[in-house]
Amino acid sequence: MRLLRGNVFTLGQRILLRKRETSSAIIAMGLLTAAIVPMYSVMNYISEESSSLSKLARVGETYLVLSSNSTSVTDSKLNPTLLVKLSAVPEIEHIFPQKVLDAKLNTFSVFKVRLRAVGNLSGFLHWKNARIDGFIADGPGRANLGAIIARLTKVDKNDRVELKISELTFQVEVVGVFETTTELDSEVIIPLESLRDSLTGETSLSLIEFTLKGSVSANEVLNRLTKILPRNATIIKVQQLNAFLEGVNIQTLILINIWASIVYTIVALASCVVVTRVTLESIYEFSVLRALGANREGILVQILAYTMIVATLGSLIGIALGIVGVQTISTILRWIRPHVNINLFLRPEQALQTLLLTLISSFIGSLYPAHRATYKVYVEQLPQI
Amino acid sequence: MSLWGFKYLRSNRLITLFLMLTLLSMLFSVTAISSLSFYKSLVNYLGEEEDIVVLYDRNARTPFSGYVPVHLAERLENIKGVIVSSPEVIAPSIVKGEAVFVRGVLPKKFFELHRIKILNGSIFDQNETKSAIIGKNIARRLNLKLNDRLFAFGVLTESYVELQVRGIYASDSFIDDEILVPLYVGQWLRGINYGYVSFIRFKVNKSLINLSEVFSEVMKEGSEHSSHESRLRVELVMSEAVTNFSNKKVGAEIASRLMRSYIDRYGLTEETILILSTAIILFSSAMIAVASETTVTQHKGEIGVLRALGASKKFLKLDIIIKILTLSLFSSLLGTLLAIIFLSFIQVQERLVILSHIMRLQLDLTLIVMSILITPVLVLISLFKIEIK
Repeated sequence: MRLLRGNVFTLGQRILLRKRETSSAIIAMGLLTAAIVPMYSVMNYISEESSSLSKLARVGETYLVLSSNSTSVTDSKLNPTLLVKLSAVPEIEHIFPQKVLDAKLNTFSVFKVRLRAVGNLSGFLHWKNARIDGFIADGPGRANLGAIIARLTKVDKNDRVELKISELTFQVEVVGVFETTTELDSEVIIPLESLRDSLTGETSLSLIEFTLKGSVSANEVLNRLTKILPRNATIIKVQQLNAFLEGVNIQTLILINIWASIVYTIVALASCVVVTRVTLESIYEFSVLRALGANREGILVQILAYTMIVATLGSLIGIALGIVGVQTISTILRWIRPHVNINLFLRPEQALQTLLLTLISSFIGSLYPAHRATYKVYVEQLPQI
Repeated sequence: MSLWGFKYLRSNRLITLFLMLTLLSMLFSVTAISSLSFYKSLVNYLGEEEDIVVLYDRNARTPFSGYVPVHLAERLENIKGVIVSSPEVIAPSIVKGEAVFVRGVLPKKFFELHRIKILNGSIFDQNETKSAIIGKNIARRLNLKLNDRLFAFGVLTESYVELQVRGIYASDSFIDDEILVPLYVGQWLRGINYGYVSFIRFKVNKSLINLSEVFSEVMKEGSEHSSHESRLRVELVMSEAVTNFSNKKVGAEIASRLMRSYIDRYGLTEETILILSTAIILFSSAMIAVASETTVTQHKGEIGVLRALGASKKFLKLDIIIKILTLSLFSSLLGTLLAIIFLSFIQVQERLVILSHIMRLQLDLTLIVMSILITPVLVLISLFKIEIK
């Protein structure tokens, strides 16, 4: 009996696939699927182009440790013992503890400035490739001014200025003016030890800036560091090229997915039409199959299997057609407009995704007409021969 | 004999065809409207008006990646006919984990060139390097309010800045998705020194000077040695003249034309967008033919009865064409309408984002007419081929 059922199934598929409508259904399904390929190719091209941003920059391995609950760097409070723990990590190349405060600078007028106290100030400014006019502050009562703040306040090296932090006022000598082309240029910088001497009792840090050695695996070290850090501290990468590219690509992907969802709905409807048509055109064949012992479930399986075959062949042809189409378009574009540099391509996983989604949509679309077809009493509808 | 009032085409059998045509029309409209909106938004990115000109880096592939000497902005200021020049730096950045474009500007110059409305707060001064004003879209997307502090992390360089939101603005342009900061902050985040900017935008009085005259004036050797202290230099304390820069690298072009030329390098034009959208619907035409044929096959019995009653094949075919064509016209109208509603909805949901900028939907009359007519035309072609048995 099982053998007979198997034979009936094969026979049924042969009959359905040999019908005239099958080829037009495969072509129609293929053309629908082919429409998806250019969209994915364009998306890949956009992603590739945005990735070219990475060629413009060398991605560094600098990180910041900040307290996770702070809304500003001046609010951030880290325990100084954290510095000891981080300093013991051999993969860290440079480490600079910093305390950042809002201050007032008294010259000919009062300027609100940001005061940054940095441990190993000399190493820090060298690491930032600072151009220094004068010397690096190396002790209490000495400060360096960023080029922007120096020009704005008209303060030059060797000038003495008054700094006010909260209610505490102290005099500093500007021993050098530096330029780094970073936000430091608008700040006043002093050695961390000087600040501790001036503000007795204030030992917390605002942030710790560190870099990893070039040869180490950043992910591995960061995982280890995360375990060392207390819960209120967080590590942030300074240069976030990958996050940016990912963000931009996700935006494009959302758009393409919205668009593709319309196409897959059309594919589902197309399957509905294909099944309706094949059941209309195969009344005689289904009657024969029923006569040979196929039950309702058997007919349902026949129709669904037929739809899946049509959808698989259609999507494979469509993907191939799409790939050929986009390649032809990009080649023609390059010929007729040599300044156009377009490279459209489809990733293998996208081809597989298209195939699977087409199959799923087709299956869903064919369920209702296939189910209805099984309830038809084929014998009564047999044509009068 | 008239069959107009005779409903032999059963509505339950027409539903699939109607839905399919509606969706195909919607697909065409969504593809064409969203692509054209993206294209037009990008073209107008640096300014819509014909009197806004950009001094740009000829070697750059995008407006963000080039750099030109900032001292050229000073030269521009001294040319009769140039109303205002605005040096700007575009820095791709990460703010609150999102990809954002930060634009470094000289506020006074920028706001003379670009009309914006401050919704909340105030504009920063060039030397307030810890301040930013943010576009209404980005404020909503990042949930930022007045006086909030934010960290902006560099993408092309290892730098970060902490900024305080001084104001929220609306400009009804792409800039609503950006963060405006003092020029220096843009330079820090972009990783270029104080002598350079991404581009210089300027406004010209076309009755006084033309584009080529402005360009030759700007490019004159030695014109930077002007004793005149420009308004720009007063505002920009870190302005530095760049000496080792080849003038050949710099070009000048009307903003919209420049953006068009950038996009054109990628083969994207209004024509290619329309061709692509039409190709998609033409790809679907086989399915339109199958669906139309299926609809006729479904009504084989009814057609047989009418034939028996004396209706000729030609007459029946004409009647079916008229009825299905009317249906397809309704479905295209509905599809186009649905596409507009759908795109407006996802725009409100801020899902219509590309390169971190929300697209402004731009409806084109030709496109809408095309969208309404293309499906009925395809239906007509496929119905002509059908044989009435």
